Amino acid sequence: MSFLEGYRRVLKNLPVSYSEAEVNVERRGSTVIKHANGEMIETRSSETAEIFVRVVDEKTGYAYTQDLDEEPNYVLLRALNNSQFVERLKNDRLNGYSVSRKVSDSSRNSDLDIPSMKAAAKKLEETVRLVDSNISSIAVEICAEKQRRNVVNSYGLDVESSMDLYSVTATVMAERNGEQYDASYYESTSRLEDIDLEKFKERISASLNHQYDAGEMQTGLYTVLLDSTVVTNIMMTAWQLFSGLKYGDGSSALSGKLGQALGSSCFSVTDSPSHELTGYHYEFDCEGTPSREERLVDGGRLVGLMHNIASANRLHTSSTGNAGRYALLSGSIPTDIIITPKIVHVEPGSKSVASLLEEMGEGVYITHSYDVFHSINIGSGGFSIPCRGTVIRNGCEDCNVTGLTMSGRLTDLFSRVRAAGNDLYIEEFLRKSYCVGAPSLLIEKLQINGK
Amino acid sequence: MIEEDSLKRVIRKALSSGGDFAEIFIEDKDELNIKCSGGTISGITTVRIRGAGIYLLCGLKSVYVFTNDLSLTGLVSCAERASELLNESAGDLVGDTNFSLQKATNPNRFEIIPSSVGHEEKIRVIRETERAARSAGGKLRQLNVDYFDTDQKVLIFNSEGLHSEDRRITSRLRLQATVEVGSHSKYEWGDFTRPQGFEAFRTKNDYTSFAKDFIVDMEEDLKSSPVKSCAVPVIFEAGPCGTFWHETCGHQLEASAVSRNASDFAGKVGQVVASEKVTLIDDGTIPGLYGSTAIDDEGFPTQKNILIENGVLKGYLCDRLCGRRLGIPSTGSGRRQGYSYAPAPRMNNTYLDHGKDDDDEIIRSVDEGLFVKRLGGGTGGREFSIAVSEGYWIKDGKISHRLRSGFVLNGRGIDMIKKVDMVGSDLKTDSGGFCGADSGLCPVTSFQPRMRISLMSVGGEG
Repeated sequence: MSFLEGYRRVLKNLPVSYSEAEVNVERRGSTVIKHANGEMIETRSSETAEIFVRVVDEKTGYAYTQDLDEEPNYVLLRALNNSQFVERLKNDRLNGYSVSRKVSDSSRNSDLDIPSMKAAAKKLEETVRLVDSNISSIAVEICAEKQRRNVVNSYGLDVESSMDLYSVTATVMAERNGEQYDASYYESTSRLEDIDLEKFKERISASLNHQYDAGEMQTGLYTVLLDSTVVTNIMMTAWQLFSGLKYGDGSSALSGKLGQALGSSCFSVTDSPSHELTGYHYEFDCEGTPSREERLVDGGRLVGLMHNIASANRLHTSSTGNAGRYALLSGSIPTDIIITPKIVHVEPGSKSVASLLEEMGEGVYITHSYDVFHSINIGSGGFSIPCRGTVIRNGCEDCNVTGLTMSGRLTDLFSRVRAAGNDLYIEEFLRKSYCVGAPSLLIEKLQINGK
Repeated sequence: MIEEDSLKRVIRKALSSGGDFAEIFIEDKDELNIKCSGGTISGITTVRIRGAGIYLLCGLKSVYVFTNDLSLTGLVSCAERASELLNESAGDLVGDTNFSLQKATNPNRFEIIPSSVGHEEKIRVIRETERAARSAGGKLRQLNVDYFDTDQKVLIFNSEGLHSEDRRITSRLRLQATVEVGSHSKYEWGDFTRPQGFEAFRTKNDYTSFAKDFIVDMEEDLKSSPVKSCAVPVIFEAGPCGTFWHETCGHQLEASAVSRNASDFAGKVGQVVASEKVTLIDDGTIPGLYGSTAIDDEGFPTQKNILIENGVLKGYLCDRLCGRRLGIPSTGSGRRQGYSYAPAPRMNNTYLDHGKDDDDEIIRSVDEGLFVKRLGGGTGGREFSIAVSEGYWIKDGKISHRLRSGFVLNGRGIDMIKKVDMVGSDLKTDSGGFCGADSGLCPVTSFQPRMRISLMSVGGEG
């Protein structure tokens, strides 16, 4: 990474016109194979490096480049010029840690083995094909990803972390009684041999079975079991409630509620740097702050927020290592330092989905949801989420229903959690910059709109 | 600039172990982002994106490799990687490709290149927008105004000898606000988008009235009443309600969905798939629209594509690879956010063509129903969902009271477009936004004349 050496040299001998400067390099290499109906149909591969520069004098300026030939001095100068127009003074402080390089283990997947990826894809395709005779086509995508992050600043901070993992997705199309259906399942893992074939079979089979011959359902308040994928889908947007920036500027529905109860005692949320259910792990954030486990909701009480250095300073606390760059629904290059989670997840409970259904007795098992980005308002906490599910009678699945919308407020939803399942599911999100997860949740009452 | 001989070498290398088509896509893009938070300029970022992708096809198989190392060594290594990944038996000896520039004119004309304007002028626009938003009344708990401009140059060379170029310039303001009315508050964002250079801000009233309307609308929304769940006739207003078409059937008419059998429209060309009132078009050539370009991202000139005509399915949106898979030609719809994505069939400017029904009569025809003036974002597939940003109740043929936003319309696209029973005569365009899909975020518009659906389920609050 010779270009980084150039930046290191400049940071060591920073011109007098700069007080502080920071360089964050994100390097990604990925190889993706797509196997469909018995053959490889698509392959993608990439090697890219992104350079994010931040300079702080009285004010902060940013620059970003993918042009590795650009002179480091010139890129820093661009950032400095930008800072001249900024009016907010002394807002950004750089990480004052003086840590030397630290490299995490990246040897596991360093020699990319395409034949093994192909063999794994083939095996997964064959396995999934057996789950349902209605399946008409299958596509399996395996992505081998190598990520390396460096954060270097003029205080002497120089850290490096790396991550190698596989992301695996199987998508099936099925046809039954002239109707088309699709289902997919995702998993990430550090080793190909750890792909949980049984889980893929189980989840894809369940997803298809929960869609067939669906009818309608009357509008009303129901006891509901939200599937782990549905809760995860909600948390993909709802994690922003816990952003220290949004909390501080009043745009989170939880603003001002730190320390207060917002959910039932069965509802806890944690942001972790690693988790056994995913290959993802985060040693440092993009300001070089070490990642740490942070409990956000503990037994229904809001006990923590996710912070970068700026948001932490504003609330007189310390960064939680949640400086990130990839915002939801942004059409631009993510150069700003915002707040993003690492592996944010609702804590699982001890009960299986079957026992939660039995406990529910009568109600609706919501198995699929769509489009949570546009149907959750983080400022008000209001949501109206299109979904489908299965009616439960006497603790057993009775019939499938579609054309539903669940609506309410997130805080009400959290306070009505009666139990959390033991089926925690974790998914990567937003250019793989973080992960979101949840178990199935049994909800006391939820408005479901149907017919 | 990379020498032509070097490009020839890269193409030869890419095809050295098989493959019948190779392409080099080079992107050089500058962006500027100025952020104004709580009334002060809080950050300015300049962005430089530069990279290339090598696309290799062998029959129905594809390989895409990309890098931001634009040195000859970097490109050759990228081509080698593509060739290795294809891993076919040795290809035919590839002769020299002679590139021939195929000129195409971008329908959007650019007068003031953003980089020719200093930060001060752009900050002035932000200030005026900020002031307009704050003068709109209402209790603003938080307000951010962000300015963006982009200048993307793309160069495409392929083994068929094509050399094509395009330059796409856009300007955008993004407003994010949290507004309070009594004990209620809501957060919202909205974009002022133009496929133009800095001339987009020549008329102050354009962007200041956008900002005022944005805040006023949030306030009015907070004062409105929720809608109950129901099944009623729904009227979609002319203009931006074209998102309905983008989500209900646009994505399913992309050949990628059709070729993997994920579309309800697969195998139905020539069949009636919608009401006879429906003529649906996608057109990347319309001047002044956010989704217009000279060429698609495979070098094909954009064109007007009639997808559904009087209810009959006429065709799909197609790129080169899906064209091979379906045995149909490209429709100039192979698009991508940039070099880090392989092309995929995508929409440009999608619209429902005008009909003959009287606009006022469409409202008068409804005893009780929903009038949707503006839609938010949504998702499409076999089943779609779209959030309503501005909706009103219709009572006895007249628009009655406003309904609180946040409720969604959902259903199966192919069923819903059969229920279109009135289409107005006044087609209005929209300023557009981004569509996110397999090949990244692409600028698009979708629009329509006023239109009525005879019966639709509305997911309300009880």
